[in-house]
Amino acid sequence: MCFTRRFLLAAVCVLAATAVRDGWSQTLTIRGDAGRDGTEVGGAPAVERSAALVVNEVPGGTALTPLSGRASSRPRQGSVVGTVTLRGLGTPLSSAQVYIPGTGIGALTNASGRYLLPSVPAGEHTLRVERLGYGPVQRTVLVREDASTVENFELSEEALALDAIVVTGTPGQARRREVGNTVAQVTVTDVVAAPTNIDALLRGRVAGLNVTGVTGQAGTGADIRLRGVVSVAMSNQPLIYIDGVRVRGDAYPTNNPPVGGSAQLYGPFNRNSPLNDINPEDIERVEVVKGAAATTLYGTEAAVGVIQIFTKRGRSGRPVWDLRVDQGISKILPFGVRETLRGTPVESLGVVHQAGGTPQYWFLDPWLRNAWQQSYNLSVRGGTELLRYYLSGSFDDRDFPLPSDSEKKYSVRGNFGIALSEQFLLDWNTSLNASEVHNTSTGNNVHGLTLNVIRDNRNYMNDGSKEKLDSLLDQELKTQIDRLTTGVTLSYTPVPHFTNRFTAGYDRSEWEGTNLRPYGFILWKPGFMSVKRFTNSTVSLDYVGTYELRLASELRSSFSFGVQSIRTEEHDLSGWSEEFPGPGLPTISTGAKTLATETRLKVITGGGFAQSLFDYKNRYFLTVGLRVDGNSAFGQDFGLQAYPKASFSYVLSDEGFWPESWGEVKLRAAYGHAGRAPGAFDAVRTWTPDGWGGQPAFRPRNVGNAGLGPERTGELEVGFDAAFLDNRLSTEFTYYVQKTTGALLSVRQIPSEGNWGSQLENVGKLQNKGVELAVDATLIRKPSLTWAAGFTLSTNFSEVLSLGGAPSFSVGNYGFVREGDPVGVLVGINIKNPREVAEPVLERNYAFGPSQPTHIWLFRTSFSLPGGLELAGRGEYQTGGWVNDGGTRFGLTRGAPYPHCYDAVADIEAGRRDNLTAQERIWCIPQRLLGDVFMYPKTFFKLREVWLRIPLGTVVPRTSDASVTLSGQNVWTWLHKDFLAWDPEQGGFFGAGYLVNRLWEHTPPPAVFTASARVTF
Amino acid sequence: MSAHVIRAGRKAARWGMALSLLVLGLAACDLDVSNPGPVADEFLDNPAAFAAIVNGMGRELSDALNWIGITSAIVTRELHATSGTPVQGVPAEAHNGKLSPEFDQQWTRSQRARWVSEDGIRRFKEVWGTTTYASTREGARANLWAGYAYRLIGENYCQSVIDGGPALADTVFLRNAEARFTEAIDVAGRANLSDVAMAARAARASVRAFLGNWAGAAQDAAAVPTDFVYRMPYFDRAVVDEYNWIYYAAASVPWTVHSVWNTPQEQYYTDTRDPRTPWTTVAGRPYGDGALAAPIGRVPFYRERKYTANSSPINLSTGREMRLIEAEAALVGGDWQKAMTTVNALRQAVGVAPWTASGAEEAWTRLKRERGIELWLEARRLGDFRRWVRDRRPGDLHILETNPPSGPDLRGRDLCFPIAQSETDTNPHLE
Repeated sequence: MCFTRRFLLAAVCVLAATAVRDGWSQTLTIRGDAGRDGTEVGGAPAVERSAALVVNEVPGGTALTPLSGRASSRPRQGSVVGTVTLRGLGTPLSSAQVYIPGTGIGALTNASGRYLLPSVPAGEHTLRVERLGYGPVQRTVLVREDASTVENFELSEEALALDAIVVTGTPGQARRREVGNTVAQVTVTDVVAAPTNIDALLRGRVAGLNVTGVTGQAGTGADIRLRGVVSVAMSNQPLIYIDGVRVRGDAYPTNNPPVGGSAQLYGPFNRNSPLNDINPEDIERVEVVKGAAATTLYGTEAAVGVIQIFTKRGRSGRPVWDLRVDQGISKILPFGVRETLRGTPVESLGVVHQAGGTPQYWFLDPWLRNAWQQSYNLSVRGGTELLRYYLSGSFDDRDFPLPSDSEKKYSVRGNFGIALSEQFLLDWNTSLNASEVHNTSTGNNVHGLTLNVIRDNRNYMNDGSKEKLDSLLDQELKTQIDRLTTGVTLSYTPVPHFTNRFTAGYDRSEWEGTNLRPYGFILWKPGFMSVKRFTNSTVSLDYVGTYELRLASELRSSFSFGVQSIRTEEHDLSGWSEEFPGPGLPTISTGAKTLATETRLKVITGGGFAQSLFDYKNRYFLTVGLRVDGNSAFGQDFGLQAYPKASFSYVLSDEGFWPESWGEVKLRAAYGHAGRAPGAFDAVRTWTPDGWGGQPAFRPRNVGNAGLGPERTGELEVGFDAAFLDNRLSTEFTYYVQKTTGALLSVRQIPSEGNWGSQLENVGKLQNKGVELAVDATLIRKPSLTWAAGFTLSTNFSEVLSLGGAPSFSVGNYGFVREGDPVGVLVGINIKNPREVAEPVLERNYAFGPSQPTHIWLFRTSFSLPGGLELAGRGEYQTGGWVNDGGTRFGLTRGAPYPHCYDAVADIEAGRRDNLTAQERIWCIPQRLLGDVFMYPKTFFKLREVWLRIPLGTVVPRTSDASVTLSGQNVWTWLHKDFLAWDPEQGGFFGAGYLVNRLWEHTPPPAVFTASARVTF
Repeated sequence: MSAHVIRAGRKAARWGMALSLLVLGLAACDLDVSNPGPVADEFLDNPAAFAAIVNGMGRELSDALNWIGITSAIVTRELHATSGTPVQGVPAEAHNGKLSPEFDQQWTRSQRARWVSEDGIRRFKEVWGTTTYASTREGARANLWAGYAYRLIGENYCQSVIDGGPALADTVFLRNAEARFTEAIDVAGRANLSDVAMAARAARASVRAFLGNWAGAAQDAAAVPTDFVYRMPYFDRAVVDEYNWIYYAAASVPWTVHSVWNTPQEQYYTDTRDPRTPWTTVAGRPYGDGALAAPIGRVPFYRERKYTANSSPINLSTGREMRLIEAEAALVGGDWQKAMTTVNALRQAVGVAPWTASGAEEAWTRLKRERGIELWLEARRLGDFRRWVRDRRPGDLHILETNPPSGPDLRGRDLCFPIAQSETDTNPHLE
């Protein structure tokens, strides 16, 4: 690990050094030219000269030296310059790609919309301009020798982008118009405020995608749910692909000791997400496929959806360097007890927190800080017709609001595209990441800072003084993650219309958690240490062939077929050591008592598919397909399953009767199946080889079910995409209904039959349905001011249609699976008269609602202001979900001095119990307190992001583009009045990874305020 | 379709098939997966695994004894809860003399202990044949663990269930225990395991006493010497599950979830220093973990010292218990003087003053108290309460044992664990 870290550091340094040197030469060249004729980027003659000059760095200045002897033999060349603007407004468009197809010549426009193509061979060329969200334009230009040709372009906004290429959910690339299901796309070049990780990038941007279960800790991961909960028993985390390579999506393990019982609870109580190993700056776009109708071709594991990440690629043309520097602070906003609950603390009754702090921060104020965060990203992209490259390096150094929390992250990436011949194209993408995370002990952790601070003298030290609580920071919780993801894609076109794509991918992560209580630690004097090393490797092989043929003059067919194999191996090796002989830095060998545990797991999934797309008149598209998949969990017969799909797309607006002025409309419908396989050991009866007093012992592990199969989800999705009023109004609507049959349910076994626990059985039938509606409008479109606004509404209503005769069961955290209720419905006790001064009237077994929100509203608006200033904001409103508050409950059962009971305690002490409200009679008398009364509606609004971008153009010397962005993320929260404490998005017991979440002694995701500077040269 | 298209299609198909086969070939190299770790059930039919199966029975029983032991200690006021938080098997309701169907761990773990023992015995008989089995050490030990598991259930549950069947009275489990102990005595005798045979005999005495078979109980008890002890071992390894949880739950690492405060032993130990009921205050830890409802509030922390380490064993059968069975048999037979003599001999042996009694009722009071002292924190008190109420035995319990006041018949208090909700929810034979 250390080696990897050093290697990464060295790589980042080399990249930086190269950047300085290379960038210096580039900018020197341009500057010299600009100085001569005064043009901003450099006029054609000057640039032409620059191509014939070499730069010599000399003391005190720069010398431009002609390439002697070559001028006379160089080919005849000219240049092309111009601007790219928005049609009708003249607003400059930055980051538009201007290139001459097939030549390797190209450039990006700068903030002023200007571009420059130097060294273009004289003659006639096709010049093409593309930018995501705008219709492409191409034009024939005549380039004259030693002259500059000026070509300006105007691009039109393209709300639907029907001819844009998407990849997700299809066996290869497809045009949007051909795809019968919705494909959500996040274009990272449009994401101005720096996302700290992928979770933050996706949060609140995609209809039907919910990111939850996060904490305010360093390195914390989150749960991503697409269209709610699809599987009860298996992971609902979507499959993740990076550049076509399958990578780990489920969270890493927790940094908790491997020993049994309560000692398992001594970790940082969060989980790192493999998604967050990825540097967001390397991402070009993310495609999200949300349901079985679209994920059929991904097979047995894809019912919960797929996220495809595409990283940046090299582009033909000179090297373009991009440097981004972020500096900011992260800060916890109030997340404590709501003001409506705060009574008056009476010191004599011992209900005042000794260390200070305020209820709105759960008394943690003395330990919270405004934490500094910085990030540096440097990349270069360029290439020729034969070789394109994108290289990047980044370094993140982030502190977090809790006192021991910090994260250092290094990453390098190299993406290469090589044209081996006209028939063979090779793409090789590799990233190497390393991070080191330090955490404060939080959550429902008896050694945790947050728990012991919040509970004051009812804590595990009987002491709420700051001095004692500070000593809890002596523990060390460290996580190191090294990650390598590499993939090679070979594209082969042996004959026209027949393409073959073979991708081999390898994703390996090494996660190591160290958990140390040094000798003399206040709550474990002899000390202990655990080290857990988890490695995960995924090897994916993927072949896809596509043959296109014209069946008739207006009927085209595209037949695709392929085979895939995914092989995943996990290895978890943990060591535990306790009772150190004395102070010093221990190892696992140091303690008097040691223990080692190991688990290994290998799973192979494989299958093949065939799909045919029929295209009639370029506006009717019918796709039918079938996938057959197997999984090693089913033993030697591999449990082959067939998953069919069909979709239809109709571009109504391409009909002859449709006036162009009406805009664009595409209708679509899709139906498909996908699955979810059970775990490797679920089908067989097994025993755990264990020990008892050092002697071998067997204990029941899994009762087994030989008839187990994957659960199948079938989904119907219908909707339309439309753009009206000259693309000023766009809308996208989707209705979906998913039915999972043979749903894997953890059916409780009869305890008296051996207490084997629950066994997965294919007995359930679940349903998810909802709508997704997105509306965006350009409300004002003037040269000096553009105001755009939009919203997205996603609904999700789940229901357990049948349990197949199995009894209803708990999925933990007061979530239940019961027929007729939402999946994971929160069930508990409803106090019907909470605020009455009376005995409580309790409604037991009350179904509050699902854990997942039923409605998610995303709001967005942006302004383009004079001077190129851009101001934007995004917000998210969620409602319909419920959560149980375990942190408050367990504190109150211990009589902890919480504001919920300030007044009640005073009344009780004064013998005025009759003054208590019904709610207080339950909350404030520890033995009466029941866990399932603390149910809160997860109804909230969060201002996800506001940012202001200030373009600097070429104000910064020696750059072609520069800008400064000021942004704030998660800067304001509104909560429902009955959400009484914590934060609705907070993680569960171990942070992420729960079907039903519960609130514990965590801190919420912090607000992050960042100033970013970006320069391109 | 033109010939060109057909040719191209054929070529495409060939290439596609070739590449598909290549990928399939690569993928098919290793479709058969064998993951290490968990052991398939059929592998346990190998006699080499039987010793480990028996150890598994012991571990399951030790686990069940932990859970039932600590919860029953709270409900019978052998210990006092310090917090309303239901951790480490100390739910707040138990402090008030209530046992809930929601106390799932006690049910599931005791059921598992019973089931794995029976499953192991079945397997041994099938693999070995009944003749070979009848003289094996594994068979003897398996029967002993099975008998203790049945006794644990029978003494602590008024009704229980076998293998998903209907609810059965506690006597069914105690008779099963008796049968298992009898078989253990037989098999251990043939396998030359004298300690197992003696433990089984002592355990059978206790079961027969509960069933009211005092003659049989006294007969078995008489065969067990006073200094005999058979214990459930616990281990101070790095695995918390193997700890004695009654100790661990108050060992300040970090929990202090129970206290001797406000229990019969608090004052008794202060007065007598009886080595069977030690407790101590702890510097820097004046209170337990949390608090209870007013007027109790924070509970002073007095740590029990009968168990002094994670590895402290818990008595399953002792010769001293046999003497108490003999004393109780004498009381049942009307010879209260003999009972008092027997009880006081035990007291004298540990250096505490003898009890005095002026009649049978007082002798019953003394015997009840003495069993509470002798068998403290051994998961036996709840069963004692129940059978004394069932048999309408005279004599009083300690005032704190009947607190909140519930009278001599302990009305209002739960005298056994109910069938767990998890069983009721899943077992079709239960409503």
